Amino acid sequence: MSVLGLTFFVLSSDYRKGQIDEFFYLKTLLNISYQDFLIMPIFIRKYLLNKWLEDNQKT
Amino acid sequence: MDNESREYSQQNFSIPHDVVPLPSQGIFYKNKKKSLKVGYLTATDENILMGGGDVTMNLLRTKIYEPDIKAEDLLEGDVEAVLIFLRNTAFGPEITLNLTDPQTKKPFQATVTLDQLNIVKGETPSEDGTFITLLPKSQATVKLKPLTYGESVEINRMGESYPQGRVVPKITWRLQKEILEVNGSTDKGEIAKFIEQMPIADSKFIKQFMEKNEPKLDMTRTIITPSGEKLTTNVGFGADFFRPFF
Repeated sequence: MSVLGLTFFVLSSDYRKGQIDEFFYLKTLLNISYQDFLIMPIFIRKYLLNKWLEDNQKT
Repeated sequence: MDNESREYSQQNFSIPHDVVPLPSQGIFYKNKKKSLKVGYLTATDENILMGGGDVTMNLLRTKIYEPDIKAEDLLEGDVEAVLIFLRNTAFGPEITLNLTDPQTKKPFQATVTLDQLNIVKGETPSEDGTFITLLPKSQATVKLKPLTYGESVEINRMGESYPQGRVVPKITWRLQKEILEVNGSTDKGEIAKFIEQMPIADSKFIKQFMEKNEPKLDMTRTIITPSGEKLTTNVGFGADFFRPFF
């Protein structure tokens, strides 16, 4: 048991699938390399995907 | 600080980061740093979160970009502030809590935001980050220091490896780390003897004193339950803290 109660402080295997899906779309839609994907802050990754969706839903 | 950590921290200065103000305001540290440079969570860190081992420690070692700070030397309140920053910048400040309505005893979910957190301020410590207080029962004057995250982890590890069936003396171990001086004496043997003979009232007093005065973030939130009652709960770092979407 961790001090802060973080024993289960881990992401699930479903999360890994979601992460790879996000890479797939960033690669396909925005040509982002895997190296860039790995070091990209998560909030920027989420923003790029949401922005792409938002712009393409308008048209 | 070991060379590996120093090199890692230094080579990461160019990576996007932000400055996280510490609830302790650095009073308890030798370098008196009031804030830390902390990197944003990335896909690489998500792999740490999916892995095993001491995830918290691994995450802190990777994301704190300060060559003269060791994650284990931080106070728990400061560690919490770093974890909340990492969580908020990656997944947003909303957190869903699984609670039980005290009136109907039925489970329900509530969403709270952790974007504006007040710092619980207690007594101001002396310049070296210690508190001097008088114990109510024994009337002894003790010098106390708050535990670091590393010390708390160490106590828990010692407890896990303690022989089964025996009472783990966690409170004693905690007091041994917290008490630096008794009636002006810093002799380890004398302090250990004092702790062995300490009245329960004094031990409880120290626990409450440290809870009241250790700098930390106010993680309590008041929620209206489905039955309309006000429920005050403490947002913990449990199972869902870094698992908000899946």
